[in-house]
Amino acid sequence: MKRQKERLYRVIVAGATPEGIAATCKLGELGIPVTLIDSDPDLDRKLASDEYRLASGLSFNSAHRPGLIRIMRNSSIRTLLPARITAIKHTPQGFSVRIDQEQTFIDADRCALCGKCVAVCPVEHPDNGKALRYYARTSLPGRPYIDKRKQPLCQESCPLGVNAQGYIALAAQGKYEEALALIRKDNVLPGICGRVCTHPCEEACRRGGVDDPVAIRSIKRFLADFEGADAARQAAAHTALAQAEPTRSEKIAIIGSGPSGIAAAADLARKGYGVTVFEQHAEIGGLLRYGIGAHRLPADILDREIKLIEQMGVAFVPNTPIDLAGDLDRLTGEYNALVLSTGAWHDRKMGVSGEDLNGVEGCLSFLARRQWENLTSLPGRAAVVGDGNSAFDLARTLARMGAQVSIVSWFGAEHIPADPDEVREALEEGVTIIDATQVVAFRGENGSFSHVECMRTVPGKPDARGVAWPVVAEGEQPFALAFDRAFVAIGQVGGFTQESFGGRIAVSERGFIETDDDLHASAAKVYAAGDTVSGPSSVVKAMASGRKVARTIHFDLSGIKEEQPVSRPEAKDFRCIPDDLPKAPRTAVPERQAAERASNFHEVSLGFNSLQVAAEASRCLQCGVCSECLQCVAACGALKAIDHFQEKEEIVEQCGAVIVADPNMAPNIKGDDIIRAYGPKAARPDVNDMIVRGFDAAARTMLLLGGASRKTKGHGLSLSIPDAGLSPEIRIGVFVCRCNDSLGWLDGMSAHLEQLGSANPAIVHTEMLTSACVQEGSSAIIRAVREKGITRLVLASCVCCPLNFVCSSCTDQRSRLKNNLFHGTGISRSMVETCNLRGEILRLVEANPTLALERFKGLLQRSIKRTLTLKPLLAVDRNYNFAAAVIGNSLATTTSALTLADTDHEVFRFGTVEQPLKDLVEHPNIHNFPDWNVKGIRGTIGDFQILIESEDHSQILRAGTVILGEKARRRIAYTHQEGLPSYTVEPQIQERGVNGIPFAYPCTTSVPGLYLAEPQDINVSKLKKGTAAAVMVAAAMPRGPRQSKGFTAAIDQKLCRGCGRCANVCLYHAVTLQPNAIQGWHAHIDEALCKGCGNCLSVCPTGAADSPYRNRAYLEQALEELLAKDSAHE
Amino acid sequence: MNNPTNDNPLNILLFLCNWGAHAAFLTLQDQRRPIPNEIRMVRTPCTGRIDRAMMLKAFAKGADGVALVGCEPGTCRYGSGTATSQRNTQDVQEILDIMGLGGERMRFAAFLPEQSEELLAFLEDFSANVRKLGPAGIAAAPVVPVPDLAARKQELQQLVETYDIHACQDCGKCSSACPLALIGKPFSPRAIASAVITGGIHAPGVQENAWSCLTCGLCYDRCPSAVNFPAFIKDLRHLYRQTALPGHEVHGGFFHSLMRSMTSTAITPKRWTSLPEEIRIDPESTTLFFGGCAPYYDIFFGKRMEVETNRILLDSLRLLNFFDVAPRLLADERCCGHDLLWSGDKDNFMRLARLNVDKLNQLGIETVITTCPECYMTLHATYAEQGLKPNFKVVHLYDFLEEQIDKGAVGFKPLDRSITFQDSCRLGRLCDRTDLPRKLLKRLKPVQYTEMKESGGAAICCGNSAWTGCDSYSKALQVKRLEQAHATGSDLMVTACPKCQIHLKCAMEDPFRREQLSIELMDLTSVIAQTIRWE
Repeated sequence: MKRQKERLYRVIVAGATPEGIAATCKLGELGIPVTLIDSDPDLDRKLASDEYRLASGLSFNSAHRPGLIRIMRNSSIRTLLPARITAIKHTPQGFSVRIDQEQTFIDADRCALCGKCVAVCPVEHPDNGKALRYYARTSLPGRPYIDKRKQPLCQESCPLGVNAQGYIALAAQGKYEEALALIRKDNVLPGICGRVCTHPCEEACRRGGVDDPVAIRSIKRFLADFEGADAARQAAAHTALAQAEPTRSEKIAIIGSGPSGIAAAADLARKGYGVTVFEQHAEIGGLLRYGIGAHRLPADILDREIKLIEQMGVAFVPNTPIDLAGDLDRLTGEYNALVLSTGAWHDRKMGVSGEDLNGVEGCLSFLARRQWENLTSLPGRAAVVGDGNSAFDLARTLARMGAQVSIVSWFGAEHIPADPDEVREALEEGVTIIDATQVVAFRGENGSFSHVECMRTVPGKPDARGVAWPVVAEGEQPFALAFDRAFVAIGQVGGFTQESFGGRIAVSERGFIETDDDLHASAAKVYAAGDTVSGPSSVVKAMASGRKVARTIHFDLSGIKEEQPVSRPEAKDFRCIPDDLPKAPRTAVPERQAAERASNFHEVSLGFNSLQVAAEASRCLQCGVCSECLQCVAACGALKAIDHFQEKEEIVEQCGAVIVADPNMAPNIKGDDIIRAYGPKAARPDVNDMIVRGFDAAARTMLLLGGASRKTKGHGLSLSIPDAGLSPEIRIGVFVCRCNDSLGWLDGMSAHLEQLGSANPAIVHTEMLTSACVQEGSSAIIRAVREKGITRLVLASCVCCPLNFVCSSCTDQRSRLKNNLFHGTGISRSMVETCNLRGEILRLVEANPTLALERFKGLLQRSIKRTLTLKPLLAVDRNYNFAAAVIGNSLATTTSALTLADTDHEVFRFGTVEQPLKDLVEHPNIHNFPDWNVKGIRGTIGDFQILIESEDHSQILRAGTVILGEKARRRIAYTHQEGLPSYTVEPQIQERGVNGIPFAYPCTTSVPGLYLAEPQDINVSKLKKGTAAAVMVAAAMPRGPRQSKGFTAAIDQKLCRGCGRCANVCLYHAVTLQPNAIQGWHAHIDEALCKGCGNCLSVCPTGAADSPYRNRAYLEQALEELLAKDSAHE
Repeated sequence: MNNPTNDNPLNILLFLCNWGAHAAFLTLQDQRRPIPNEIRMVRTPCTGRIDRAMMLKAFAKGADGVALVGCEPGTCRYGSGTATSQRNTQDVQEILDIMGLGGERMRFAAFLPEQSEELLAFLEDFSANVRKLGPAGIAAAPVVPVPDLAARKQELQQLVETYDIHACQDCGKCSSACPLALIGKPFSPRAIASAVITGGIHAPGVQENAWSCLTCGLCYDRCPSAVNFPAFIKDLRHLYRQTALPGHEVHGGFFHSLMRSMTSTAITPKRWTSLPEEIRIDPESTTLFFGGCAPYYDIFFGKRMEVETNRILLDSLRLLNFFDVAPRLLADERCCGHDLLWSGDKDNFMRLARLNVDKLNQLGIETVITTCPECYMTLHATYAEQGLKPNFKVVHLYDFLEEQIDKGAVGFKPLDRSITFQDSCRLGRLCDRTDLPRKLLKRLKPVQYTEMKESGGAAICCGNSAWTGCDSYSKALQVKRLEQAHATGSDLMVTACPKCQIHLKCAMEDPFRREQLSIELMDLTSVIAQTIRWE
């Protein structure tokens, strides 16, 4: 036997099954702190399952909604949803539980559950719908949550990290502006990249495994062109991006206006730096302009995007060659940072003989010369040696200049590394490909080129990356091909030497600038980025390098380290691609016909139209589910309830006891002190069994923790908690909640509210709240009440009543607002008149604004009028006897008695004639009455009279609660009041179609305070039933001051005729009859037992029974006002 | 009525239970589902809380349809609500049918919290139905301008003069005769009189007592100065009404709403729809039988108390037929207005009275026979007193019977009961006809006929009148009367007014004294109808 544990006074309940909920509720009532954990994010939805449906037809979540709301509001109960328990360990104080709380990305306390975020979410997942999961306003806890998976491969593979899924989702919804804005966050050249990007995203696209990857690049192009095609839209974009003046004093110079320079400049400008970009050529763009044919990237697109960069505050200075050796000192003096992004402009040489013959030229040097010299025509046979995109681009440029072009490709046709579209388009335009051929020499006469000497190649041994680099085929003879010109297009080299920078900047062997990982060059304040560092790459990589250098500079100058924050849960994998996903091939991009394009430089690709974009965007598998488009953040607005960067929390919680309500929720752990509330897997699980098991678990926990029973002996007087009451002075405050404008709002409403105060001097304050149910909202109300001495409040929100009463219509938000408003704030519930503005009025705003405004005025008018008739709430003092009577001699009753005695309750044990008390239990808290049998029971909770008789005597013993064994139940006559007919108490479980049974827990009866130790039709052990009854008793008595329920009925003694109809109709026995002064009776309602249903009101002939809160007069007034067909109520 | 912005002339009122139905309704609201615009909602903790008076009141206040929307049977949070509201709905439907409004304007429906779409379908269906039926047509009562203080003082002065209150000698005979005072209620007619003289009519005790007065006329009977206290109270109540002070209407004001609704010309009651076949009527006759409100009472009280006041009407018709009279009946018979007048609502009484007089005059009715003492007094005397000109004679059925029986050839079967008789205040003291029922009673052949301790001119009231002011003292009074009845050794208490039956039955409903108080009640008309025979 191990050392006894010194248990902590805290319980962890694993699993929000009915067992878990029942246990949590009971422990909460006992005042024991509980943490409830479930993997489901929404209790309401989880418990709506048919599996838990009650025999009455009610779903568990509706039937037990008051309990669930109380769980949400009980400050000693924590709910961790969704969360998983990863480990449970025994500790000397109980257990240590490791809990993995999943991210929901939404703060339940800040969320008004207004639904705006859900409305804007562009994700339309085929089986799960929106990425923002939201089922109903009844969610518990009241918030949607975001289904977010690890980073989609498209985004992951993009060097710039552009959120492709996000803009595709927005594009699919036609939200083109939002989509483009999302792209621009990470890529300032969408029009350019939409044309020439090497689109690694598409290579990574998971859709490629099904049919074809999504045409991400073309979607991007569409978005950029959509904006560009319309002057107004473009102007709007310019305005949005415009940055008038730098916000930081530092200035930065960038040398070279290619993609890396532009990307760096844009980022630095956005951060507020003054940026100047120097360009040696006449026009901005570097390789974008001089290296890419206009048939792929028209100059006006380039101009358009550069103009936008200028709008962002970047100053471009063309025609300004910089002497890198001579000007370095001057520039580092004038500027706080200098970025070298000069690119890689030197064609790589093949290193074969004849490369310097006249008529043999490098690709880039030709393209540049063409621009400078304005070459337009170049007839004759031309060979382009190389098989990358540049080679094809060059070939197609030459073809347009009239040349007869052949590509001499090292690789075999199938393995040509250039973009397949590029290859196809080249072939269409008449370019021929001589594949699997290596040029071994350029030959000619008199220094002029005439033919190439070639060897056939075959695929070599694949290297580590799987590329089978061609090798010259063995035994083959060289052969010659005659051309007028040859162009070498096999890439570029840096072309720098140490001397280029006067020896101050380290240069690599291959002629590139050497930097550290953060792109610092070897001289102070000097940085380098793009191809000039990495060697020839791609536009997107060069831009990524530019952005990186911008981050480095920003850190160096400001100390702010900007890392891409992690917002996606890396452990949450993508959804499996469904087997039945319909195959849908990629939407082809329209192109100019080959014949039409061969002789000019018009853009070949025509881009998608909006229909094509919609079709293509809808092919996206939405791998990350949430696309992080951030539309929801904007929609949520001031509430700021959405946090895409919410971090995953791992909690280690210490507790004295663990209740496992759902075996799937807890890892295997051994130990007698683990309390298991779940039953065996039954063919037809019964929810009542589950509830009893939950009660039993609560009882056993109560025993395990000890000390759970504070003040359970003798008598106690439950008092009202202090209440501010109702001041006779009338100072009205009108508070109107707009529910975050989720259902719309009308200016007329604001105007009407504003003039209310001037129309009625009793109205001292009016206020409009974004949302009343968040802390700011309720704080504003409380502040106004205090500052202006408001004594009557009109609260127009979604809250229906201000009472300490929860019905199945209540929501987390409503109860939260009530909680914020009335807990420890000094505002009395009796001061407040509530009206459901959201449900009654705001829902009409969109469909019928005229009616909405009219009813808005009426609703406020009525509510303001009603504040004048508010009444103080009843005081609720009442006496309780804490002793428990346990009647019966069965295993269950003995267990009940022992459980109560062990938790320090005083217990009287009795038998009946059929079942005399034999098994006497020795326990200091148990009083056995072996020779006395119970004959009858009278009374209700707190004051039962047990009629007992022995052989010769009879007497009455008093107890506060009663537990009946089954035999005792059948035998003992019960009446709630002496003189009234008695009956045997029947176990009552509501059943579909059977009227007359109130809602109750399985071991309770309609007699408050009377419980059954052996309820029938409950399929759990007698021991469990016995402890369940014990915990019902333990939790039955109030443990502190009580709040006035506010809605209970009361009797006007003078009007009461004592007819007893109310007593008959009240199934809770809240009504007793007491003698009046004229030899008759009047009814009396016990506030503690009254549930406020008002059935007694409707049977009372004289109107003696009425509910002080919203009484008959109030209802009649409400009828009159609602039904008035004139305009008196505006 | 002239609201230009209201494009919805119809109003449908929904009493919605907090539990099942309200949750479903909120879902509709949250999802902005198209709840028909004529629907207006009142939330209640349970549909069982809404009594029949509240439902009828909704119609009286302008609803064209009313629905109680609660919980599926077996899911009522409080157990009893669903059955209660189903029963109440049925009662109101039946009453609406008789009133001519149509029971289909009232519905009960039940839903589970998740059945929002089913609820919407119900709302759409009900709205469509009500739209088809059109407006219910209870015209709002015209607003009577409240007289100013000076005018009220003037009127009070007038009241004092009319009833010669100054003649009160403060002798106390009224108080020592008043059954309410005798039962222990702090109530004194002369205290009210002196309060009126000193202008203290709004003192709380005075006001309450003015509403408690039974207007039974015992004090008037005893007053040496012949101050007509009942009539004075009637006018005093009218004065209270003018300043919008609520009367102590019982049963939630159900009957007052019913009567006020009847003043609307737009509704046409549908009475006498299920007469037993053997009863002969003559639509051309100039003799009309005026029934009164018994059918409404039976629906309202029948389920709880086994009262059968409609039987009095049927037995009356049988008796008329017995003497070969086939009377005419008014298919659209309205209330006589007695209770409106006596609860201070003179304006609506006059509206009703005018409708009745005009109708009967226009039909050329020469004789109106009635068995209800209130109808009798009202038609016979009050209409003329209030300045109306009925062109017809009003005969109490007892008068008719007495006259016929007196002609001879009629006898009575022995009645195997010991009987006693409860006088009707209206017929007995207020019309001074205490002898009339006794003439008939003496013709019967019971085992024994014993008068109660206080009878005839001294008889104690059944405890209430005009459906106002019922309270614990009314009950004590009724208990006293029932004890007096038991003291006679009788086993049948013969009554002459349907309300006596209702009130005394209600008093028998007592959780501790039911056995001790119970006695069978039967109206004199029925006793006669049961025993009369040709000889």
